[in-house]
Amino acid sequence: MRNPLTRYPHRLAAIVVAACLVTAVACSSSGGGSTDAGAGAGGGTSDTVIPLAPCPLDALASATQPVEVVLWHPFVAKTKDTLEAMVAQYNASQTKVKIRAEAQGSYNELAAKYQAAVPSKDLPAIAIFEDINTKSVADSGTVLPAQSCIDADNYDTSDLLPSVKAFYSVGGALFPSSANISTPLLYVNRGQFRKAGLDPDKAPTTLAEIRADAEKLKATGVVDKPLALSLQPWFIESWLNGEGAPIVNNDNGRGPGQTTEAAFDTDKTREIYTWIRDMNKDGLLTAVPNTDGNIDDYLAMAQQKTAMIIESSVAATSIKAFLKGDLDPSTLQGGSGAAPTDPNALDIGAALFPGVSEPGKVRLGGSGWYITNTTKPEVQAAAWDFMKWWNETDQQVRWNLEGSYLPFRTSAAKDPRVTADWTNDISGRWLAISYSQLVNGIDPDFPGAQFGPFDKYTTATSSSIESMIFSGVEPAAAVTDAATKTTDAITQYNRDNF
Amino acid sequence: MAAELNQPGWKKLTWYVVLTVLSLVILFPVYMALVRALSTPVAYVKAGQPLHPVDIQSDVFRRAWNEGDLGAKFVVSTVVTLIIVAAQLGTALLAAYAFTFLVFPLKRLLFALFMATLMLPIEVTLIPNQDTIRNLHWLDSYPGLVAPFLATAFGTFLIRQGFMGIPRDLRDASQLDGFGHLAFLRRVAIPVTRPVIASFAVIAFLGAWNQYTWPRTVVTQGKWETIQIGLKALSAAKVEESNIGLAAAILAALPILALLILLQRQLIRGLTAGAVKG
Repeated sequence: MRNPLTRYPHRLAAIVVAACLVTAVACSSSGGGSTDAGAGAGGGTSDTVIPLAPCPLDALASATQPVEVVLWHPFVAKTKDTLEAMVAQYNASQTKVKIRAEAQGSYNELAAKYQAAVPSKDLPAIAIFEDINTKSVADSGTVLPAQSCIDADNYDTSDLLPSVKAFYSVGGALFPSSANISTPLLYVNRGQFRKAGLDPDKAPTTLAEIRADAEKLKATGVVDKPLALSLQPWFIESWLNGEGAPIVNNDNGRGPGQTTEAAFDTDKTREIYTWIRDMNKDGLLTAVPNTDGNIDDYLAMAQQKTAMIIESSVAATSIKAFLKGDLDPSTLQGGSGAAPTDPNALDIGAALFPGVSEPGKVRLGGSGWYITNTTKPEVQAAAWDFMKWWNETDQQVRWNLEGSYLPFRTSAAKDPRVTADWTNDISGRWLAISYSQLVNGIDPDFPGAQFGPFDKYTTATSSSIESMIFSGVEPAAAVTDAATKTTDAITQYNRDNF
Repeated sequence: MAAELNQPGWKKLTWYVVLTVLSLVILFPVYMALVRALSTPVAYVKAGQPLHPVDIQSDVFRRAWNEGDLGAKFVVSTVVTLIIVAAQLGTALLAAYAFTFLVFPLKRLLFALFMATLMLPIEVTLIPNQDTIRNLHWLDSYPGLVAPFLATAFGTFLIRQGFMGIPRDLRDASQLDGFGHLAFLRRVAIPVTRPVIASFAVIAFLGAWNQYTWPRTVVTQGKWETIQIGLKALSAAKVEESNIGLAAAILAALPILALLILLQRQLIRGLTAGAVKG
């Protein structure tokens, strides 16, 4: 969950300044407002006063030949294949627009390349950025907010999920035109729960219950390290968010004022850190460092070396794959969830994300689709046309069934194809739990923090937890360290206006 | 050599044991890559990640080739690598010749400056180089992929060291025979330093073939992706298909392996050159 958009703040500042000099138009139309107000006004950077870049809706109608729209995406393997097949379907469905999907490796690589191309305005028409980049992408002044096109096109957004709209809005304006959505889940080894005398249908709902169950699993000798915890800042955020505890000031970065400092150096955060530290100290937890491609928690689950992991809902299909050969096909495809005849067979279930005090409260994750404002008007209009198609129920259904992302609109979740999968297929049932968190577990008035140097916060949080686990730093000191680094990053971001 | 052959049996045996153990240590990761490539990932993990393949998938290499579209990427990588190796050999030979045999003002300073570029990691030059390539409209093209690597300070240094080992007498003799600079380079200097040049060619090939950061930076379209970019995409696939990435990595390493076998004799002579002096 790193944010490479602002990984090189000095360089970025230079790039943005250069971009402003070269492309005075783009900056004055969108980013200029905040640039002027931010310097010296002391809290004057108000997101709500930035005029949105206009949506050139009519430009597509007047285009005389097919408009090519370049789409940069971070997907690989099956998700990439699904995306490309869907793009081909769109291209074949009409003659005015031709989408060219180009894989850029990963979110980080895509963002780095995007940033490098900003000065020359040689940007794709659509780019996909990670959830934590919302504010920095909006501040970059290079995107056409979806809100502009929604307003210009009288596009009906009532069917779009309120929690997603809230999360991806900056100053009341929705920025990305679509989103790939996931939420974290608790995956449990039901067989090991049974062996320890625990009810596998009553998975732990709070951190305290995880600890109680872990102690029982360990004491009965069923498994040595009952929890394998991937040290992702996303989970910490979800725990804090579920408690209504902010990461930064200014109403968690969403208020009318300027965000100036971290707000998480609190008892609540210390309570979470202490829980992790004590679980580790008492031998109840395997800590899995948050590095790219580290899947030790999956492997521990597959080898029955752990009874619980917390992972994203997009992991559902991978975890289901481990069950092949252990659960009989009828169970995999939607049996009663009864115990397999072999007590040692792998039997995994998923449950609501356990919270500090109640389950199912999360901060949604994933990424957003942004239309850029540096291309020709007809390209921007064509990109919007594609995004409207992409958001239609049929496409959102397919993106869920084949791409594992949760649907962006409620009609897709109610579609018979999705409800059938969510009832009958084991990973589908897990996605249904994940979706219920999206609907019930996120307060649209408090959907999660939003600030420019979000990546600095996640890096600081990762290293603070790792220092606590691997170097014995006290929880309070670790939290303070992360908060100090976050505040420093925000100060620098505000000073450099990026 | 004679002394080696006459070593007592036990001494020879000890050496063979030591060398066998060392080669096993070096080959172990390669073996494990093969094991994991051939195994069905989920079954392999559940079997506790043993030292032998589990539930072998014999078609994994074909799947990796097709899913990663490796054929097209091999072509791009091969063209890029051949251009870079040829260009680096050409520029390094000429520059090394000049720094060794020619007399010109500020020679030492220029050579020091040349060497200083070795200290610059690619990260430092990445952004400016990318801007240059972008301004030249060379993104997604062969010129963009090879331009920053046509000359090399390292190769110049290496070959210069080789040239400096050429006795002065040889040079004087060839001058008496009427050899000019190019004739001397072609007919004396290059043949004499062939092991060094071959070593450098292999190193240049390795470097060019294994590049990731630069191609990723200047390529946005799939058809210009090199083999290493293809590997990254495959290796990032899902857990249940993780063997595809390893199979592709093995395929991508084959040209390097072939080159090493082909140039083995030259390489060993290059490594031991100077070690048997006197």
